[in-house]
Amino acid sequence: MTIATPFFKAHPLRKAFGASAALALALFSSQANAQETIDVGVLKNSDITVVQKVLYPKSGQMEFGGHAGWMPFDAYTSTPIISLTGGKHLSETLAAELAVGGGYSLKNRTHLLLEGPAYGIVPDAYAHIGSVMATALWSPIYAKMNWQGTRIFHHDIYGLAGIGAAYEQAMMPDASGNVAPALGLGVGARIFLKNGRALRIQIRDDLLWQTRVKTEDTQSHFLKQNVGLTVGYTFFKEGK
Amino acid sequence: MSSISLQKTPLFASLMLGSALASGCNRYEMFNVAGYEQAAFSNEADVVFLIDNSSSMTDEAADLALNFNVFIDKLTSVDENQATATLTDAVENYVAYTQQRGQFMDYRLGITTTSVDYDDGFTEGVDPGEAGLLLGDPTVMSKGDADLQEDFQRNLLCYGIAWNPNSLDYAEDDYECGDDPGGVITHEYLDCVCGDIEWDENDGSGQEEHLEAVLMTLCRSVEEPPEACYDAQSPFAETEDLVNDDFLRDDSTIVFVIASDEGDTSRRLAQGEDDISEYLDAIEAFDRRIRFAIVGPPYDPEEGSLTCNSGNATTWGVVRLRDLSDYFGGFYNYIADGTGDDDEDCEATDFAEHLEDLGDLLNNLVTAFTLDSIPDVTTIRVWIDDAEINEALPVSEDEETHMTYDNGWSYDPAQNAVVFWGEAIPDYNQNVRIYYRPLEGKPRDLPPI
Repeated sequence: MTIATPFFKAHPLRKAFGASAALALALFSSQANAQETIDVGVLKNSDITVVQKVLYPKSGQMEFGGHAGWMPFDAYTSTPIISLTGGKHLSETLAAELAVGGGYSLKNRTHLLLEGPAYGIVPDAYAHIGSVMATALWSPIYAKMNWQGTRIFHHDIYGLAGIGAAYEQAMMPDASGNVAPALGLGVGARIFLKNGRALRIQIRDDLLWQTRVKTEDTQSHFLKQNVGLTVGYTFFKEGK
Repeated sequence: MSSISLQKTPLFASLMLGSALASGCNRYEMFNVAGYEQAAFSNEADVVFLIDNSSSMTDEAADLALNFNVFIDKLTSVDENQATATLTDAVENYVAYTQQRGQFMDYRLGITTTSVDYDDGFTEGVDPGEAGLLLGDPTVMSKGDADLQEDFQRNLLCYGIAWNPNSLDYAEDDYECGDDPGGVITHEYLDCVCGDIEWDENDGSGQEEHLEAVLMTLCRSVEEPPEACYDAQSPFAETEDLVNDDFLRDDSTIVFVIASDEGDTSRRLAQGEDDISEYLDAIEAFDRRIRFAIVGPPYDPEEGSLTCNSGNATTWGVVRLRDLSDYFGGFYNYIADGTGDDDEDCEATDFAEHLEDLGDLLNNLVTAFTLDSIPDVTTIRVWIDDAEINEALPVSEDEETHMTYDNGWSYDPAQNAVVFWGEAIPDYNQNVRIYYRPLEGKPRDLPPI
């Protein structure tokens, strides 16, 4: 391979030096004797790009995992959640996944204050019990980050969209249940670990179209958003 | 080195931020809830009779004393007469227990007066009946006492009323102690009832301070009086060693029975002021269930005027009393009835009816639950502990248009209360929760979320 540089172009002596060096390499390198020299022409700086090697390819692999997190953004409830996911990566950027989750909504401080003696008011809040969602994940970004110059982490970033259903129950004593259709949107990141494992951090917003029986006379359907933050641990397996 | 596309970052950040913000705006309908106090149906009631002992009230006070048996009869204990030999007896007792809860009320009675300014009394110090101190002997009369009715009448007639001997009749020559006085208080009757007690030397303060007397009574009846008791205008601080021993119980409902033909002129409020918030806050500081059964001057709220006003009450003074019963619950009955301003058209109302209402109030302490707001009745849902209670169906209507129901609950608009019937009447100290949507708005502003 001949590399054209300004040094070799500048002076005849430099040309001679380069030729001598190449001869030395040829004499002392047995591998060099065997290789065939290919002249690729002149390369410019603009032709040079760093190509990230994908150390953790996903295409064709199955990914399974467990996730835990919280839904902290509702006005009156705070919900710890867990979920199990299983899916297949159709390509490096596209995957299909099924997520099954459950939760246990708790009354938050505002809820307790309202229903106490000071206000005597109870919101018709619903507790998240469980959900099923089929999602498509699009991960166009694969990158690596250097942590304090000592460790390199490979990761990807993805967006997701899906449809499913969620079961919720009224927190008032009637405990009326409701299965609501849901649309899920979210973003997340996978931090790839060794041995085919990954750490997933994800935020997903489920938009529910919820029916509430106690207020049928004024309004029976409500749009409810369940925004969940989760951290998961997944493993990859060769798909068939 | 990371090679995350900068073009992607704003989109993802916006999506995250938008989701987080949007979920905080989930909309929920609001229900009022009543009944969060688990001890709401305690069967203990401590009743304080707050008597206006001015000279204009002698007839009414006497009427109260002579009709006291009506009140007692409504709450007659069945304990002494219960048969317990057979299973049938047990079933009958249970039916009586569920149908006539009032008869199982555990009540205590005490009497004091509306006089707070103790300088005007029998002595220069605080006499029994002044500044919230209970009067009589015994000062506390309890259900089951052998001489309850006699003790109450003696305490009221002999210690609590400022009689004018010159205005009292004398009995017939053949009158003997124990004879029915026929509704008329005479010298001889008082001599018999009071014995050695000098009933003709009582004197009351010229200023009737109903609210202050209520507050002073409470202050003297608890172990740790709240800060409101020590107000500079109040006589409590210099006399706090005088207490009403063994009267108020920790879990009881306190009922103040106020009988007066004058309005309130309590010292902490300016003359003409009808806003009693200062006293409401002070009474609420005790953190007790309190009801007010008030018999006072007739007041027409639409006209804003008084009728049959023999006691020269002021409008603002009467409004204070009405607001007191409205706020805490109870009733406000008229002490006289009539149509005109001329006292000749007015007649004193029958105290027997007021005492019946008092008995009903105590009964309703165990079956009715007052709501803070007027409800949309169709939205009322009731739970006792974890069991939902269905709305009761009407069964019959008696001559006085009092509807009765089968098992369940009903809404009584007159009391703005949910009333329990039959087997649905909750046992004492059960957890009762009533959810409803108010007809008009919410009782107060919600806290910021």
